Amino acid sequence: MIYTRIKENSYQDSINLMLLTNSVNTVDGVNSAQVMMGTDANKDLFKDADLYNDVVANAEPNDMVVAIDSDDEAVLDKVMEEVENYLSDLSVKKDSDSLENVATWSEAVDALPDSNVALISIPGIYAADEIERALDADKHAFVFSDNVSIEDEVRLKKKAHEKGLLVMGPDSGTGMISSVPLAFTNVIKPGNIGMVGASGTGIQEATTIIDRLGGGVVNAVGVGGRDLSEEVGAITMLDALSAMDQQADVDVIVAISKPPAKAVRDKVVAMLHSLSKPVVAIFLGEKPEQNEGDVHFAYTLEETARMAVDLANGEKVKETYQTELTNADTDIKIPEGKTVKGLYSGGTLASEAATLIAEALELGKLSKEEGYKLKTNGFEVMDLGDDMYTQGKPHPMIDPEVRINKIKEYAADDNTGVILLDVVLGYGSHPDMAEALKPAIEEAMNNHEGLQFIATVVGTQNDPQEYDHTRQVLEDLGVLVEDSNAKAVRLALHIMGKDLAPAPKPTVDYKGEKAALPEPSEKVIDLLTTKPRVINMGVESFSSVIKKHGGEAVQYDWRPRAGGNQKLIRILNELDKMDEIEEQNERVIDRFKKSAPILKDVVPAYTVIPELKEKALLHAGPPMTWDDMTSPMKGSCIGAALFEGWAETEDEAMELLGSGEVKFIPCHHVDAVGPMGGITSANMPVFVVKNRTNDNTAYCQMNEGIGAVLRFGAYNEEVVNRLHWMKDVLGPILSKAIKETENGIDLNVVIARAITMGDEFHQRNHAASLIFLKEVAPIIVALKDVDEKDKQDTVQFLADTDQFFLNVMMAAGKAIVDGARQVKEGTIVTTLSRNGKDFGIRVSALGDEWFTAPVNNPKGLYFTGYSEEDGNPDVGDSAITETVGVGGMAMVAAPAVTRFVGAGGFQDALDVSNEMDRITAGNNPNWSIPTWDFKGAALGIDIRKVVETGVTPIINTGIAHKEAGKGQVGAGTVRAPLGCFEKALVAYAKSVGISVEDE
Amino acid sequence: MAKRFNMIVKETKSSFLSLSLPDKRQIGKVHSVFATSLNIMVNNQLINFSQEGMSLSAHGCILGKKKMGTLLELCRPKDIVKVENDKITFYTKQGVESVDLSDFTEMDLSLTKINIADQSIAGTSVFQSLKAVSFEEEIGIACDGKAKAVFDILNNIATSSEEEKNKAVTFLIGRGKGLTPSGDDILSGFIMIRKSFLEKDNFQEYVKEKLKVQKTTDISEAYYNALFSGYVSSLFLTFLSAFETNETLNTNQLIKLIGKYGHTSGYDTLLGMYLGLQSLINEMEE
Repeated sequence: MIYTRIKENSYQDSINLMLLTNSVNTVDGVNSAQVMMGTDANKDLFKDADLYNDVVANAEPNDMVVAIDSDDEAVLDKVMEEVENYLSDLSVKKDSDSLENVATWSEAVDALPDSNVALISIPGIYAADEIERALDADKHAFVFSDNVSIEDEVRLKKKAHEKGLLVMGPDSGTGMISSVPLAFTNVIKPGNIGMVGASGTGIQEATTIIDRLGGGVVNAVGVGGRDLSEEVGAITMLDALSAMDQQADVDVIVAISKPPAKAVRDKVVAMLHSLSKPVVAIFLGEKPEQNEGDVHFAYTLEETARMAVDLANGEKVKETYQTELTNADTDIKIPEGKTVKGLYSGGTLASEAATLIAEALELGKLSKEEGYKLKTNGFEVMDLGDDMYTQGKPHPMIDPEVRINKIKEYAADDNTGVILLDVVLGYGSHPDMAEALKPAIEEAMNNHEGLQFIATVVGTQNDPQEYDHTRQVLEDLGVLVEDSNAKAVRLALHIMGKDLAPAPKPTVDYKGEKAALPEPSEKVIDLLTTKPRVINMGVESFSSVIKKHGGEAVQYDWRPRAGGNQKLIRILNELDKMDEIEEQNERVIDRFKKSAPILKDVVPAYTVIPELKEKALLHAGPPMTWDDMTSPMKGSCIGAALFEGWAETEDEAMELLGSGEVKFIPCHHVDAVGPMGGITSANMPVFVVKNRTNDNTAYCQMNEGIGAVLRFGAYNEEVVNRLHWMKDVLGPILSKAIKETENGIDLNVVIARAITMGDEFHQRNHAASLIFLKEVAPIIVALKDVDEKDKQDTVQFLADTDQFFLNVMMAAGKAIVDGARQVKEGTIVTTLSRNGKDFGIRVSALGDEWFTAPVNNPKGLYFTGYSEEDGNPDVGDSAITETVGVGGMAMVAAPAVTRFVGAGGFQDALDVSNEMDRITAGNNPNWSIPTWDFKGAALGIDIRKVVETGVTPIINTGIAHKEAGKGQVGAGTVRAPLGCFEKALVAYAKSVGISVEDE
Repeated sequence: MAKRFNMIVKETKSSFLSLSLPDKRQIGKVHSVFATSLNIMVNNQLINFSQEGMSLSAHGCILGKKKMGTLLELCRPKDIVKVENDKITFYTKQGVESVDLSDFTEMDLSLTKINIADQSIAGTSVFQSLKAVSFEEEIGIACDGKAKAVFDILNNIATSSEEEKNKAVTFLIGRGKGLTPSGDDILSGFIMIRKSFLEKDNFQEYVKEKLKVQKTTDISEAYYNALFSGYVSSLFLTFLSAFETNETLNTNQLIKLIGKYGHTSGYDTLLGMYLGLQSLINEMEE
């Protein structure tokens, strides 16, 4: 039976997930398991593994999918425990590395402004976009990812060439830039050899032999296996070669390639002859008969290395490089009829072995069967790193499992005389592959007399696994270890009675054509001569290795842009090219910053909102009908109808409201905002806040205090009576008091002071309410012609109502955003609001248009006796506070409130604000937050950033009971749904002429 | 033309180094790295790089503080080094750094003959100052009976038998701790003096032959090689010049300066020099 669980929005790189899959497969009761991100490609793998069901089908690309086949459902819990432990261990490791992790490209660029390389190890379908982004930002791309289309490779390499940059890869597994290892790489001593290679393990074998011979390599540029194809035309190799030719520290250049296209080979060779430095070239599979001029052709990777070292030492190359086998004296003989089986983790090493064996035994052409390099007459050489063995599994350099199984299989085959192995060391490889293979080798040797293992170790003493150690482990087992792959093959043939002896290779003058060298790019020369400054997107361990070896790295915790939605990614890519958006957004948030909200008055709503002169009610959020309203909002409407005298009873009110006689208007449409249900009627007093800078005015009803209140849907007599008192006493007194001030109350000042006193203005307004009271209380006391008890009641009400300032803040927020909305430009959110059904946003360039998506349910703490099940879906215009950068956006300003809203401790509050900072265009210096090192509140939510990161604004909110009349039951936080931002982005793209049709 | 040793400028190389740099590309390794100096080994030859303010080694050069600081920060033993056309390139894990010796001021560190009447050696300030040094407390090997017997052989080298010479040289080569064992320093000081006073002295050849079979440290070997070719570090050349000035105060200051060189290396060499002078006096007496 298949059991699945989804970890939403929990991105991990593929290597971690593959290792996690291995770990999960060891849990008792698991028949088979797979842990992967929910991309379409991975869903196919789930199908292939018979681990596919509806849950998997519905997973998003950013979701981690855990699928198991088990006879017992309870096993899934054990598996999830294993998953959590594994992820927890990872996070501990992450902390100890103290790497600086960022979540977006722009953050990465900010963190490492002089970065010159993007190291890309992300799923292939996203790689092309990221390569292009790197190139657009004038950075080289080192592309570990595979599965990039040839068309993209050609296009991007041409673009790179035009910009003087290199695209190293795709599928470049190894590289070394200024002696800094990139990706899966050995630790090689720096020296006067430069290398360019279209083969990962080819580079590894050659560089490690050079190192062990006492030579050194300063740069090894992996260009990707297809660079020398006809389509690509060796663009990267030629650019890298011309730059290396200019590099003063390099005396010898080595070029390694899998068999290239004929035309490209000729082009490359012509260019090699134009270089000013001696060259060693190997086109794997070709058997050269002579060297030409200063270009020396090698047959094996060992010969490549030895030639390079001789030339680097100022010596001439020798005619042959047939060094003695380490195990030449062995008296082991393999009887006739037995065969050699090669079980390789390195593809190029497998090819080399297959070539040498086929040549010595005249076995004809190499195999084209998937996974095999040779399969003739029982002689088999397997490339266990082939896609067919690595789909959904770690590479055999990391995970010994496939090879262990193959060892068992081949050992049991009576025809097997020799098993050839490679053990590839270096960063990224298994920490001790020799030990990992040991039990299988021991078992095979014990159970199959005469079976001989021969191995080569690709590594250096400075590799994390240490060459000598690995070699010793193998030798102690009785494995015959040779110094190179070529020698390991020679030994295998030797004990079968067949010795390979190369013919001497003379050096002749070169009389062919030379090609003009491309002008070396300064950026490439800089790449090769300075320590790399790397934006590492993907496999995190690459970052620490770069830093350990003197490079700089910023870890970009890459996730698929826009959740992997190709249409949105395309739009974002197009928008990235429009520099003017940044300038427009700058102007929008400048208008936010320069706003000057002044509290001018408190008046009956109908006097300033003409629409209320008719039978109309204002409500929170985007437009909606009576039928769509949630129960508490309907309760508020009933309360308003009773307050206005439109009905005597609840039933009468219900009938009236459902009759269509009452018009429902969003507060936002009439310059107003309202908390929770937002229900505002004609005679309710509203704050009048004028934005002096932009000469616009906004309104918000007054806060009723806590308990049974209209905004949470209560409508009993107490509620209605309080509304009358507010209309008759509180409103007029505050109006008089405010008018007594010279110019009204400058709310920027109140906000700036209160934010330093622990308010975030949505869930906590204690300080601002007291500051407000301090402003008005002396004036109220001095008011003439006002009943003393009314004065006293008013002051007492203000003193009792901690959240009184919230509604002032809301009016201020509305005045600010409407001022900014006077000019239509940019991608900044100018409204966040919810009506209990839909979450609606508006965007600076798109005016009054709403973009909606279903609201989420708040998560938080509930009053005793209530739970999340009792909570009403998210509702209210109070998210205007978040729109202007306070509330949940400024969580860190109010440590006291974080626990109340269920957001955890101070660190959690800080994390929230830092996260919100990632989706905003700037910060508001007017509202500086002491607990954020006096950084200004995050300002200007940018829909591009929200869609790109999938991070949506977090809103602090009260929670109403889902049934009318019961009022508030808790408080917490709620995320704006991503859907409305995605819709807004599409609409914005359309408005600027970008095609938004699905491709 | 090579400047004489007393004209030390910032970027200076020994005349012996100039002579011994390879004429074709050679790849070597960083041999050792210290607080203010480092050595590289190329083609079995040690080359010393020291910071300005330090003595110029016979097989080395002096670099400005900044350049030396960079090298010291970057270089680690076993890093690859390339010597080609007077340019030395260090391939370090932290980056590639080069030193081009072709523009360096060359300093002549060759020993010159000291011409004073033999009978007056005992009267020189150098001999008298050395005689006053309590070597037993300062040198790196225990002055026990065995050592004293060896010193006695050196004191009377002209009349020592082959067996005695063999005993002394075998005892001293490589004896003691450190990069330049005390025994080697004593032998070096001894040879230094005898080469400075005598036209020909077969004791050097004796040591040279012995070194073929008895190994010492690479650094000591480098000093021996330079010395056998007639080159010593600027510090000892300065000291030897005291025979000309013959000022006791100056000589004592130089002894103190040399005494600070290495752990016991300075005094070890001075003892060798003292024994060398004593051997010359003894020879004259005969």
